This record gives sequence, C-alpha cells and structure tokens, in this order.
Amino acid sequence: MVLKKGFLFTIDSIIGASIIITGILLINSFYIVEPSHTSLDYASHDLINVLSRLKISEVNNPYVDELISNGEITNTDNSILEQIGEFWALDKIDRAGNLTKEFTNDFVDENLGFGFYIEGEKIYSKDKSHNGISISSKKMISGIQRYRTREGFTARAIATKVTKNTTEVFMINPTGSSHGPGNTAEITKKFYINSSDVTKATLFLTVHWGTSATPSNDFDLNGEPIDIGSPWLYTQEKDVTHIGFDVVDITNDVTSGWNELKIKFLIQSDDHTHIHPGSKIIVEYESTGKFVPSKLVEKRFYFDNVLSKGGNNLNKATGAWSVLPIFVPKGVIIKNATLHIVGKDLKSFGIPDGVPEKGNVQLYLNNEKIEILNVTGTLNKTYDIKDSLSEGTNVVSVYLNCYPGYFFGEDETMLYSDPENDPEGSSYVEIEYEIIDTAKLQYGKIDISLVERFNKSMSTNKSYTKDFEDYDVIESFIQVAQLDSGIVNVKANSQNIFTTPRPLATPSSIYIDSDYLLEGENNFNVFDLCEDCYILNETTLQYYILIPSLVGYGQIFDSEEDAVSDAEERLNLLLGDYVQATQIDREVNPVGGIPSLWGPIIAEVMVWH
Amino acid sequence: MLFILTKAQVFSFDLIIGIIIFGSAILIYYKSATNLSDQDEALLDDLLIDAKTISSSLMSQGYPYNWSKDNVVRIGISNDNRINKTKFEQFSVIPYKESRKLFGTVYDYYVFFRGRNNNIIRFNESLEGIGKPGVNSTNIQTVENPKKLVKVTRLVIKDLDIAKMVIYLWY
Repeated sequence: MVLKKGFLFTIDSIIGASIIITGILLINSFYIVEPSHTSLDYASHDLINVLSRLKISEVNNPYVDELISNGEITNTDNSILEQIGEFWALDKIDRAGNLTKEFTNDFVDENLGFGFYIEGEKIYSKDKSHNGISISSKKMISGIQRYRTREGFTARAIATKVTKNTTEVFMINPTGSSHGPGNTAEITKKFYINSSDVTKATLFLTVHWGTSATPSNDFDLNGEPIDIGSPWLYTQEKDVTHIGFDVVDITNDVTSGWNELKIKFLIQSDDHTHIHPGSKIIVEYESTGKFVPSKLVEKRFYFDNVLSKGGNNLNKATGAWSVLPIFVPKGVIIKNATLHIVGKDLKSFGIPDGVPEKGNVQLYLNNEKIEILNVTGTLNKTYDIKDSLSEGTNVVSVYLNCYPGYFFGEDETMLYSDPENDPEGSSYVEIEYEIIDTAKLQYGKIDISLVERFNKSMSTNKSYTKDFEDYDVIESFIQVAQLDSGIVNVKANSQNIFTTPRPLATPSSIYIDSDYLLEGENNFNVFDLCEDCYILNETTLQYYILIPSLVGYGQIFDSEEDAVSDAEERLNLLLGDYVQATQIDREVNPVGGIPSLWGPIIAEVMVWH
Repeated sequence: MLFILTKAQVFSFDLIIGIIIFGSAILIYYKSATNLSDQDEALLDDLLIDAKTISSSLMSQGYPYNWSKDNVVRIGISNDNRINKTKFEQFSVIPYKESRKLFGTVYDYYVFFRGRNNNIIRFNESLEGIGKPGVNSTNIQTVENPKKLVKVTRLVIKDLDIAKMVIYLWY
C-alpha cells in the first residue's frame, strides 16, 4: 500500500510537468512581434519635409482658418514651416508653438519623444524619457514679414555741384630741328589750364643736344626763364652727343588759361637738337563739373610750333619735324580724321642721293606715307586720314625741309601752330568718332584723371602693376620717359598695345583702351629694343575713372534729419578723396508698411526614443 | 518502526524523480526557446529590411515617372511627400502577386493611411488599403495568424493634411 502510493505521485509529477512544458511552448508559439519601426531618421526627415511642403493655402484645418480670419496669418502662400518661422520672427512664440503642435502631435508615434526648434530655441516639444538615441533634421527658411516696419523716412542724395582733384597731362612730343653750329630752333608749346586752383605743376623734359657737355639751351614759361638741366636729373652720352632728362616744379609759373612754354635750342654741332619721348607737363588742379558722355566725340591735337633758323649754306641748314599721336578707342566708328599741316618758308637745298624719298616735305601715318612732296614757300594742306587709322595709338610724323640725319633745308623753316590765337590755321590732327559700345557712355558720373609714376630703377624693360580696385576706368595712357629712345613696345596684361612704327615716332603718350584692363591687378610693361635706351622711373600711368554722383534710398529712419544725414554720409563715402560735393540735392521719402525680409533661420526637428 | 521507514522511503524517491523531471523539462524548454529566438531574429530583420524598402519605393515617384499598371517598373505613389492620387489608383489595380514581385519581397504586405487621431483614411467606399486580398488594418492577426509582423510608418501629405502611411509586412 505504501509502495502504490509512491508510484501514483511519480505519474502525477510526470503528467504535471508535461502540461507545464506544453503550455510554455504553446504560449511561446502564439506570441507575435509587431515592432513599430517608425525609425527615428524617417520620423524627423519626413516631418520637416511635410511641414516645409504643405502650404497654408491648401490645408483644411480649423485652427489655420481661425488664424487667417483674425489676421494672424497674412501670407497664405507660406508653407507651415515658413509660417511657424514667421511667427517666431514676429516674436509670437505661442502662435508658433500652437501651429507646430497642430501639425505634429497627431503624427508622431506615441513611443517617440519630439521637439521643434528655431535657431536653437524650443518652439514645441513632446516630452518622453530619453535613452540617448536622437535624430534631427534641419531646414533653412526665410520669408517676407509684412507690415513689420514702422513708419519712417528714407533719403537719397545727389551731388549736383562738385569740385574734384584731377590731373592733366600735356604732351610734349618728340620735335626738332636745325642743323649746324649757331643755328637755333625754337619750340613753342601752348597749353590751356581750365582751373584757377593749380595745386601742382611739373615739367618733364628730355633734350638731345650736341657735342658739348654743357647745353646752350634756354627755357621760358609765360615769358619768364625756368631753370632746366642745372644739373640734369639723368644724363647719357651717345655718339659724342648728350641727352639730359630733368624734372622741374613749375607750380608757381603756370597760370589759369593759356600758358606758353618756349624751348630755345642753340645748335652746337652738325647734329640737330631735339626732344625725346618722356617730355610732358603734369598739372594737378581742382576743377568742377561732371563727365558728360557723348555718342559723338571730336578731338583735336595741335602740333607745337617749331621755328628753325639757319642760313644759306649746308652748314647753316634748317628744318622742322614733329610727331603727334591720334588715339582711336575700341568700339567706335570713325566719322572723320584729318591732318592739317601748315609749313612756312620752305626751301630745299635738294635731296641728296641715297635718300629714298625725294621730297623736302614728308608726311607719314604710322609707317605709311601720307604724301611726299617738294614745296617752296608755304605748305597748307589738309589730308583725310580716316581710312588709314587703326585701333589704339596712331602716329603722324611730319618732316619739313629735313629728314634728320639725311638732309636739311635752307634759311628758315616753320611748322606753324598757334592754338590760342589761330586754331583753324594751325597744324593739327583731328578725329571725330561715334561710340557704338554703349558701355562707354556713362551718365551722371564724375570723371577724374589720376597719374602714377612707375617705380624701381631705370631699365630697358620696366613693368608696373596697378590694381584699380572698384574704380570704373574708362581709358588709360602710358607716358614713356626715356633718355635715348629706339623702338618702344608697350604691353598691357601681356597684350601688345604699341610698337614704335618708324624711327623717331614714339609719341609722349600711348593709349590703352579699357577693354585691355582687368578686374584686380593689371600689369603694364614697357621695353625698348635698343640696349642702352632706358625706360625711366618718370614713366607714368594716367587713368581716367568715373565716380557715381548719387546714392539711392537707404535705410528707414525715424526722422527726416537722420535719413538725410545717412544719405549725405553715404554720398561722401562714395565720392572718396578725389571729389568734394559743393552742392547736394536731397530727396526724402516717407515710407511705411513695406514688406521686409526675415531669416534665413534654421528650423530643426529632433526625434528620440 | 516499519511504518516510519516506509513513509521515509516514499518521500525521498518522489522528490528525486520530481527534481529530475522538472530539471529536464526546464533544460529542454530553454534549449528550444534559444533556438527559436535566433530564427525569429533573422526573420524579423528580413521583414524589416523589406518593409523599409517598400516604404522607400512608395515614397518615390516610381519608374517610369508617369507609370501605369501596364508599364510599371518601380511602384511609387508620392512626389515630395505628396501622395499622387492617380498613382495610388494604379497601385490599387496591380495584381497582388505582381506587386510583391515589384517590391521584391516574398512576404505579405498591407498599406493604408491614418489621419488625425489615428483615424483610418479610406481610399474609397470599398477600399481601405492595398495589399493581400481579404486583409484589412484590423484583421491581420486573426485572418493571417502571422508568425512575425512588422510595421513601418511614413509621413505624407494627403487630402489637404498630413497623414501617416502605414505598411504592415508579415510572415
């Protein structure tokens, strides 16, 4: 009986254990996993995307309708995200939070935490404990906030009258002659200064004279002698002749209006005395007036008057020669171009054998003949040279009764020019062209001419780097200064601008069109093929800049006075150091209720487990 | 004396057998439970990968961009998170087996939308969602009795509001 009882207990335990194990296995097999995989990156990315793409105008939502009807939402073209940003910009944080809640709360899974931030500032969040895993998505937003700006005033200013510090360069082009000791050649340079406020005037002169180390030349300015070559700044001896270069301050010698510089050469030897490239007068002065662009441009350049006195034999020979440049910009149509040449007292000894061109008057444009002719007495002719001109610097060379080194004339020779008293009867070149490149026609601006010297030591090859910064350069020139001169080349930013077209034909100024100039640094290079023809430090870069004469409406101020003061300040800043406004017109405009921009700002959605 | 000895022998024997049986049962259970867990994990991972792939496909424009049931290569019903009703209609008429091939899954799926307050947004009177015939958002457990079931939720713009696109995938 005791044994039976023991067996019964064992069977019971086996049955019980089987039931328990079966139950556990059944429960395990019936268990199904339904993990919610609204993953964090999907949640944050999708949420910021739908908020940025759903427009206020398309949503069917009572809360949004209420905000529109009470005027809180004014731009229904905003996205939900932009509207939240606009509320934030308007410091309506509650509105921003409520709108965020309206469009997020129902759509973020309950098991996720969620926060919406603008520029790091919490706008709305659904708190949930954070286990360290969070994902955020960001978008940059901006928009127009209407009626935010208070009523106020804005002003603009126009400089209707100005004074400007400008610089003018008067060319003294290579000119000579006379031949034989004791002869004279008198060069008369007339130049007009359109200002009574000259701040500085400087004469640069290169003279090639005869065999004596001491020159026997005189210089007068407006009837008063001026001291040049005592001593020369630079000298050079070449083939027993001498070349001197000097720079003289003539500020107190020049006057407003016409000025007359007389260069009196007394010839020392069989060689002729003449001027080399680099001679010029630079005048800095205060001026008035604005740049007045014209589609049709007419420019005339006068020769300097040359009076050469000699005798009636070959040892007392005379002659007059000179070169003069004509500048042709890019983007123009030349309407007319003429050379008017007046020579007086022409009489030839005859042209020696070996001289290729048999005429005592020889006229050239660049390296092409205009005319070779024999004249006794007076020459007064006008030539149409329009079709022979090319873009850039063209050079007219005039030889009367001489071709230096080959032959000279008899008694007296005059290259006549008196621009002050007889402009139409003088020798000149004139060009008329139409500007077709309208970018060169700029109105309402103030033109300033500035001159800078090259630096470093003299060399046969010199470069100069110039950054024009923000200035609008309309044209520029290189005035090459030399002692002896050969074949000169000028380059701007590696592009060849000029090459001396024939002997003696390097003018005192070489034109560089603005098309050759670059933004930022520009490199100008001048070199002479002759191995002892140096480019001097006194070589100059002249450039014309245009400065705007007005500033537009600026910020909005509470008072008219502040608005005007701001406009004047902006105008003066714009005019810079070179221009002073002497009369300013001001226009004040009351403004209010204008839209202004908010943002850009960073909106961020962060979701976490 | 005999009575006492008999009683003592019965208790010791029962206890030893009971402990052996229970110990064996617990060992067998844990052994089988561990094996089952590894298999479940692999299946779950596979379901999740497929569910995410299907969600990405549906969130795209599909291919070709203006696809129809006759030329579809990739099923996509959304453009910039905005549900395209025409494409959703085309999706609804693609035979279920073909759609599974296009999604590249061997598992069963069901796609539907929920709006505010988790309310289901029906496609029309007769259609709540798209997926395995005979299944809806509430009867998957009972009709399919799935071994494993996963859910992926994406946010979209549908019918002038934000909505949740819910994708169920099971085996």
